[in-house]
Amino acid sequence: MNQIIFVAWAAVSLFFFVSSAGAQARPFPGPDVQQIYQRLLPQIEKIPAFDHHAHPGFADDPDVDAMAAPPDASEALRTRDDNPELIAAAKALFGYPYTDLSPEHAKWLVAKKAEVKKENPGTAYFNLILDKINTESSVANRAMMPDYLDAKRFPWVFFADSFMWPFNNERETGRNPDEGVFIPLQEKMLHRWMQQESVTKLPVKFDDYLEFIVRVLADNRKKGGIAMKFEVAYFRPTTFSDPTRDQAKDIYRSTSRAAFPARKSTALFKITSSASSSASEVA
Amino acid sequence: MHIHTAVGIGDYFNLSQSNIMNLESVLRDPRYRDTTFVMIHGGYPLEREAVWLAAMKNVYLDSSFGELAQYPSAFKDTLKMWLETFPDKITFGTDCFPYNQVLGAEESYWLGAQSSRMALAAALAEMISENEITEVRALELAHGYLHDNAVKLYQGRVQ
Repeated sequence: MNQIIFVAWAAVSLFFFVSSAGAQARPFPGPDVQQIYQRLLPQIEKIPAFDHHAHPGFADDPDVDAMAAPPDASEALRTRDDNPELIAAAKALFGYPYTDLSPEHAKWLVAKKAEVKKENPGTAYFNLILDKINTESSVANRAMMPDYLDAKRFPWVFFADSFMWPFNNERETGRNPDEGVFIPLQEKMLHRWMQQESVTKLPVKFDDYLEFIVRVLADNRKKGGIAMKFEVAYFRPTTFSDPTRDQAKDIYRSTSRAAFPARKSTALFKITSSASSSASEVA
Repeated sequence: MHIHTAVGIGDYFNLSQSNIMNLESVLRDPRYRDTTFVMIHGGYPLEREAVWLAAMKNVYLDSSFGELAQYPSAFKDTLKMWLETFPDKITFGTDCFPYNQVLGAEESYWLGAQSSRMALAAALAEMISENEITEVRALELAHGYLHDNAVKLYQGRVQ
């Protein structure tokens, strides 16, 4: 009898232990963690994703980014183009039959992609890629949008850093070899925004420059832009002072033709941030 | 507004001067209360500090690049910490980019998506095994990170 009572007591205790297991977190995963992982992964693979940050496009498309990697820049191990996982990607996406990317084998992959592109013209090719990786939509953070990306599945995030560089940027460009690549690209981007707005010369007055920025942001929004992106850390420290509008005007006036003094981009970062709300109102 | 907050390309990128925490004064500025900020790349490699910026109502963290710079075993730890802190303020991204004429954005997309899904499953499996959440809740968090959190951000402007 005592044995029966003990077994019943043990069973009840076990029941309460199991049913209350969720109440107290423990500091280590149990031996079940691999099994849970194996159970979760297929369910997670079925969730259609929204890719919130990407730079889709073809390698020969200069608008994939407003920036470019400087020559000979160091790459972390996994982001190098000889990462063997990229071969697994080629296998999964295109049925790549080889285990290396020797020049001869790479030709197969280039030809296969050309074939798939031909079978899926226009926007169909990158839509197909999204389908293959179960991604519903992907943000396209690009300088400009191309006609081969479907705007419905690739919402645009445009770059706003170029508004910080309306000056003579020689000194900043010469600061180091990387800035020698980065800053001219910003100048080029600013010029493209000017072309977009049919502006041939940057305004002399700060207020007019601000109005120009607001117009670009509003037009980009109308063109489908869902956000703007700053990569300010590439150009200057991310600590910002808080200049007044009058100080910003003075900076703009005094440096519009002179060499651009370091850190004065603070004023232009702040005004572009403020301009974004004005642009929303305009749009 | 998206802001790049991570290490950057090039050998002259100044890590200490680009610390994500430097942006706190801008993010907390009451004049930008109505601006939504998304910290692209989640401050990597300072993602542990960065997640607390998401305590601000208008600040979100995007995990892109973290899943490429790190292997899934390491990225899992980042995601777990974020999921345990502000799971509704984080978004998935691949940071895909065409490497060259042979390996393009296609392969980069695949690697980013696969790595993120694996790391996410591993992070959630640990959280379940450690009695932090149920499996049902884990899948809700997975939907949030991979899709819903980002879509809510743009209020009908994306599908």
